[in-house]
Amino acid sequence: MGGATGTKHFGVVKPGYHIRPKYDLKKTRGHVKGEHKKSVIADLPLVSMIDMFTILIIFLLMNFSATGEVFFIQKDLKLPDASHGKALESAPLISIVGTSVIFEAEKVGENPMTITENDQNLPRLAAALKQVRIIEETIHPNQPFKGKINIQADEKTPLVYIKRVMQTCISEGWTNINFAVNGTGGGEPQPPAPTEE
Amino acid sequence: MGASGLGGGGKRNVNVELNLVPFIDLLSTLICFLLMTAVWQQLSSLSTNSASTTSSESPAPPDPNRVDLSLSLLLDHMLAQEGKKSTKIAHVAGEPDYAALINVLTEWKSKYPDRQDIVLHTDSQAPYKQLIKLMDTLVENKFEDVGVNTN
Repeated sequence: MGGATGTKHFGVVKPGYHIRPKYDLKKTRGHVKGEHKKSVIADLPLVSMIDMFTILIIFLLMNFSATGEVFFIQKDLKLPDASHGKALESAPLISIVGTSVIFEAEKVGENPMTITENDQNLPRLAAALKQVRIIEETIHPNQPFKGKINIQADEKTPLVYIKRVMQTCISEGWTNINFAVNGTGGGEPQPPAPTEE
Repeated sequence: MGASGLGGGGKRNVNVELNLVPFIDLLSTLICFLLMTAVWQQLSSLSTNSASTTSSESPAPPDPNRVDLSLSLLLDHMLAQEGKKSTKIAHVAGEPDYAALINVLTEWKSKYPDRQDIVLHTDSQAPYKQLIKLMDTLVENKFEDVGVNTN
């Protein structure tokens, strides 16, 4: 039985990677094994945000006013437009709102539907103006009284209400009357009137 | 960033990332400040010289050669008065005809270039915005000393 001489022994060998699909799905295998996790840290696109900030700042700077708001305007009061007004200066304010005349946040008169001779004067407004004038003359004893006052009213207010307020102001010596208007900026900007100090 | 000083084999990367954090801080602070101090309504004023029309003090003696310029705002028309001569300007669609008024004012300005004073008479029922618009038109045409008659 020496027939076995020269015969080869085939052992058990590990098979190679012979089962190769036509389309290798490496990524799919990676996902299945959890090898390729997507990073959760995302880059914030800062350039667009800075662009937005810059545009916003330019817009706000163009609207910037160094003088600020001189006084508060009520919501239901629409000032008339004017394009050639001067800068509004700080002075006592009379508001004609609906049926009321308000001086420095205090109601000092009514606007009746029909104006009679007795309604021409506003005694409470006159008393308040007189009091403010005394205070101003006490504070600045060596200066002439300027009599500067601001009036604000809705654009639809009949002029009869404006005139009686003006008459009361003039009778108390407040002759430098300024009407507050909504500046539309159509004309050349004018500086405020020079003040005599 | 492999910087090799001797061999020169590795070149230093010249691309430097700008640190944007302080820049964004500055912009944010500026935006907050500007938003808080923003003035959304630009107020201005039109002044009237009421003392010249209603003052009880003794006025200066009138110049006999002086021509009074005045403007009357009524409900359906305006009257532009140059001394005794008056020009009627009818309203257009319920509003004063400002274009015609500008023509009259231009003519007056060519006649009296030094004059800046004018007196406004108004109807009591006319709306306030018409008075303001008239005053604005007068200031625009170099009649800046506007007196409003309150009687």
